[in-house]
Formats: sequence, structure tokens, C-alpha cells
Amino acid sequence: MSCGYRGRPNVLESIDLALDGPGLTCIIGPNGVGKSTLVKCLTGSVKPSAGEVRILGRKVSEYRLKDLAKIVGYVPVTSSDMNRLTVVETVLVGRFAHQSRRTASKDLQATYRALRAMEIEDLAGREFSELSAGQHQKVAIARGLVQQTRILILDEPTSNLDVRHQVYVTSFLKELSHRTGMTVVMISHDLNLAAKFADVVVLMEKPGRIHSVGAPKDVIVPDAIRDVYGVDCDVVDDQGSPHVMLHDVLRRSLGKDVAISVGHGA
Amino acid sequence: MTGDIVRRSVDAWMDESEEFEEEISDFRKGTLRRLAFIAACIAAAFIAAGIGMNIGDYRIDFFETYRVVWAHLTGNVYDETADWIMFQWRLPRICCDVLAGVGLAAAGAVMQSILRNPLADPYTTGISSGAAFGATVAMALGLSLTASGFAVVANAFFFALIPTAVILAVSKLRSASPATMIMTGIAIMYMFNATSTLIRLYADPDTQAAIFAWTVGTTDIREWSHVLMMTAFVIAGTFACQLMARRLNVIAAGDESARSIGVNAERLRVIALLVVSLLAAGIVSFTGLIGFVGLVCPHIARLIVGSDSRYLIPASAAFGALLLLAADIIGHVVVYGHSIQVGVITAFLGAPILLYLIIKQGKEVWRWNPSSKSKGCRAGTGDARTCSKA
Repeated sequence: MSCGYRGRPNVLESIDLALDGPGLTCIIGPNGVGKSTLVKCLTGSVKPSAGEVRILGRKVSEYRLKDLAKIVGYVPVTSSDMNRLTVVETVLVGRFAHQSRRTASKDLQATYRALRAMEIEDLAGREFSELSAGQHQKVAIARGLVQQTRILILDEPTSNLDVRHQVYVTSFLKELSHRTGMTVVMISHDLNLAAKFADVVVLMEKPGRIHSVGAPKDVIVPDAIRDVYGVDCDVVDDQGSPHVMLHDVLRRSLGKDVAISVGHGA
Repeated sequence: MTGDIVRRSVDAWMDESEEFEEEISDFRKGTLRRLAFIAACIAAAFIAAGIGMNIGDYRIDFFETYRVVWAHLTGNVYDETADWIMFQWRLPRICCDVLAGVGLAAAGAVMQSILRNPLADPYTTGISSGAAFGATVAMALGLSLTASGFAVVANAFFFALIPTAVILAVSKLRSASPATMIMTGIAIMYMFNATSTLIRLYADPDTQAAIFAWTVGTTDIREWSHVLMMTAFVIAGTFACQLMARRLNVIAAGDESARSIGVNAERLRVIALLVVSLLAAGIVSFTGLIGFVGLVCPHIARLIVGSDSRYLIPASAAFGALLLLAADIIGHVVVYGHSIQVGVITAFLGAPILLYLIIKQGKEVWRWNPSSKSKGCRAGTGDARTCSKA
């Protein structure tokens, strides 16, 4: 499929991608390459200009929103700062598609379980708008969890988290997908996080194309990183996972031979 | 080590046997407190209505006012004079206070939710300027859509809805985002205000005075037909707002999140705007412009019941009725022998209350906090600013 915004060139060109079965899929690529547009197409909030997106064999556009919300959960990259609901109320709205008019105990139980899973039980009574960006992300992920969908899509869910919580959230999502059969798709800018935890990596390149798809060790390789990001790097083995060591970037600007490691390599 | 922690977390997430009894009990208690606030406002409004009906040159005791009304409703009138005064003079005004308070406050709560703007009220999208223009045209130029008895009302109602129609048209062309709606509303408001000012400049002094009096807003209505029409708008409009309450909670999370949860935020915003506009137009066309009720009542209610629209809308509505009844009572007793229009009093009451809220909000003195009693910041529905930041 291809996709673009009104009156502008296509952001995505000839995307052909199948994501099936349990596991964590990481979409990586430079800024402006169409990663967020791709996941918005998957959730049906952006319509492809050509081709189609199918969820469980059925076109996304054929689903009623409430029915789609029972199958696909989506955690966007930003949350509304004007949300004056408390954290527990914010997470509880994730049960909307399952809920009757009255708040049932099972909805509240799922909400408190999700708060505990994201280690934010102590924030339950806090107003959402007064939390930090990292706390917003954890609340948004908890809201995605309580939807209890077969597919969960997250747009940079770790971008505002400290290093411990980046590792915790990503490994939680991977463990969850393997234990429950859920398909988890997340966008990340952290190559090492993707390399360490993803079952499948989708590397995107400009202009809105897929460069390569596969296991991290097959996709995150020096040539591909140079092609897509325009930087040189070494990829070393870190307990069976690739680990990216960027170099040359600062050497050119500082005139010294330096190497920097991106990510935490946890 | 991280692996063990994560495995335990996933185990806990998948374990559906834990019931969280304490947390859910706290949550339910919070709900009961919210309902108690709504009930308290209704009870206070009932008493305020008695006091309001009690005010006037012809003396009727406080409890007697209820007996007179009850006797009339059950067909057992025992005091013809009291009955006549009550039903021709006082009760229509009291009903109008309640209806305008309920409708404007509920509309304000919905507007603040859909526009994600704490300064939004039923007039934000230009309803007030449209209504004022319609009334000005009827009074100054004698042009009206209907017969003379309803000339001002019909014009005010019709023109109050024009800004909404323009907003909906622009939203269709662009997007139904809060920014689009507010900016379009402001543009239309300036156009209507400029035209109204131009007409008033060339009107005679008596007409100018009449137009000014209309824009101040009054609930001193004596036509039961007007009250009944207002009742229809307020009941239908407030009920529709309450039906949208769960969806309003969902769009608080942002449009993209709302869509993934099952709500089309843009469509809901358009429907809600239409409902609120009809509700507000159905009130201001009879009463003129009563300010601050739609702005202040949701803020006060929010401090006590929180931002969950399922409780915020009825709490704002009940508090709105109480505030307008109180303003009406003050307007009738503050200057002996004269009554001050309720719109003036709501502005006098509303402005300092709003300032007080802005100053006090940081300290959160009014927010109920079930979990702060002894357990600190346990998961639940309590005040958060007493908890340490995680």
C-alpha cells in the first residue's frame, strides 16, 4: 500500500508487510521516514491512497471503531496534556469498548492490574495533566493494556522513559506477547533496544519504503545502518544480540578518533 | 534480574484472580461522595427556591410557599391570592432560574471537555454575539422571523445558531479540532459584535436601553409558554449531554487515543457542539445573556467531583441551578424595593469565585481525598498532590 496526506506526495510508497503471530516487532528508521504514518494506517486513522490494510483478514475500513478497539490497541507518541482525569480514570477509559454504562468490578480490576504492571499504582489518584512525560507514557501503555486486544501498536513508547524503564517496558511487552500470543508492534529510535528485544525488526528508509525486514541480526548490520542513517558503525555481538557501536560521527567533526555507544546494551 | 521482575509483572497482569477489593471499595466510595454532592446541591436548590418564592411585597411564609405550589399542582387551591401571585409572578422566575442554571452549567461542562479549554463556556463559539445580534435586529430595526410576541426570542435563537453552523461548515472543510472551532467562533463573534454595535449607534435612546437590558440577562419571565419551551430545550439538551458523558471521557485522552479506544473524536465534537448550541440558544433567547454560570459552575464542580464527565455534568447542572437561584435572591434583596438583573449578580459572584479558584487551585483545598485519610497515596481516587511524586 501507499499513503500520503492531502495534496502532498506520498509518505509511504509500495509498503508490503505482513505481521503475524505472537512476538515483538520493532519499526526503526530515520526521522520523517513514515514510521508513525505506517502505524496509523495499521490502526485505520490514516487511509492508504493505494492498496489496503487488513487486520485478521478483514479490511481495517470495514470495522466499526468499537469493534476494532477490541482487536487493535494503539498507544500514540504523545498524550493530551489537557486531560484532567485522574490516572485511574484515564486508564479505565481503555475499557470503553468492553464496558457497559456502569463501571463493572472486572473493568476496575483490569485497570488496577495494568497500573501495577506499569509500576504506577501509586499514581492512581493523581491528575494525568500533572504527571511527567515519562509517567504519561506509562499511563498510556497501561491504557493500551486494559483494552486487552490481540494486537498492540505503540509509537515510541520508551522515548521519555529512563533507561531502567525502557528495558522494563520493552521486555514486559516482549514477554507478554510470547505468553499471551499478542502481536506487539512498536516504533523505536533506539537501535540497541530493538536489537536486544525485538523478534522482528522492520527497517524503513526514505522515501517511505521498507529497507529490510527480519531478525535483528539480519537487519541491524553496518551496511544497512550506513545506507539508511548515513553513519558508519560496528555491530558487535552482545550475548547473542547485535549491539551497534557508532563511530566516525564525531571523528569527522572533532578531528579525533572516537567511538560512542548508542543505547544501553542491557 | 530484570527478567525475573518482568516475568513476575507479566504473571501479575495475567492473574485475573486478584480482586483489588480495597482499591475498588475506595473507588466506589469516591463515586458515592460525588453523588452525595449532587444530591446536596439539589437539596440546597430546593431550599433556595423556597426562599426565592418567599421574596416579594405580598408576604407568604417560607413553608407556605411549598404548600401553595403543592395545592395548585394537586388542584386544592386554598388561597387564591397567594396562588395567583405565586404562579403569575414568582414561580415562572424561579423555574427560569433553575432551567437557565442547569442548562448553561451543563453546556459549559461539555464545552470545556470538547474544546479542551478551561475558559470555554456555552458562549465561546459565538452563541452570545449571535443571539445579541438577533435581538438587536428585532428591537432596533423591527425585523423578525416571527410575529411580534416572539420577535426577539425567535431572532435571538436563530442568530445564536449561525456561528455554530459556520463552525460546522469550516470543520467539514478543515478538521473538527478544538483550535478550528474556537478560532472560527471568535471570527464570527467579532463580525456579529461589529454589526450589532453599528446598528446600536443609530438606534434611539429607548431602543438602546432596551437592547442593553436584554444583553445583561434576566430570569424575570412571566410567560409560562416561555418557561415550557425552555424546559423542553433544557431537559432534552442536558439528557443528551449526559448520554455523551462516557465518550467525553474518552476524548480527554486525545483524538488519536480516542479513535483507538473506539470513539471518533471529531464526530463527537460536532454532535456535542450542536447539542450544546441548541441548549444554550434555547436559554439565552428567553433570558438574554447570563454570564459566568457556564464558566464557573463546571470549575467548582470539578474541584469537588473531579473531571469524569458522568458526574461532572450533573454536578455542574445542580450547582448551576443553585448559583442562579442564589443570584436571583441576592438581586431581589440587595437594594430594597428594587431588583437587580440576575446577569449582573452572576457576574459579581462569578468573577471573584473564578479568581479565588485560580489562586486556591494550586493548594487543592476543596478536593476530596479518600486515600489521604490514613493510607497516603494508595491506588484509588484521592488527591494526588498530597502524594509524593513517583
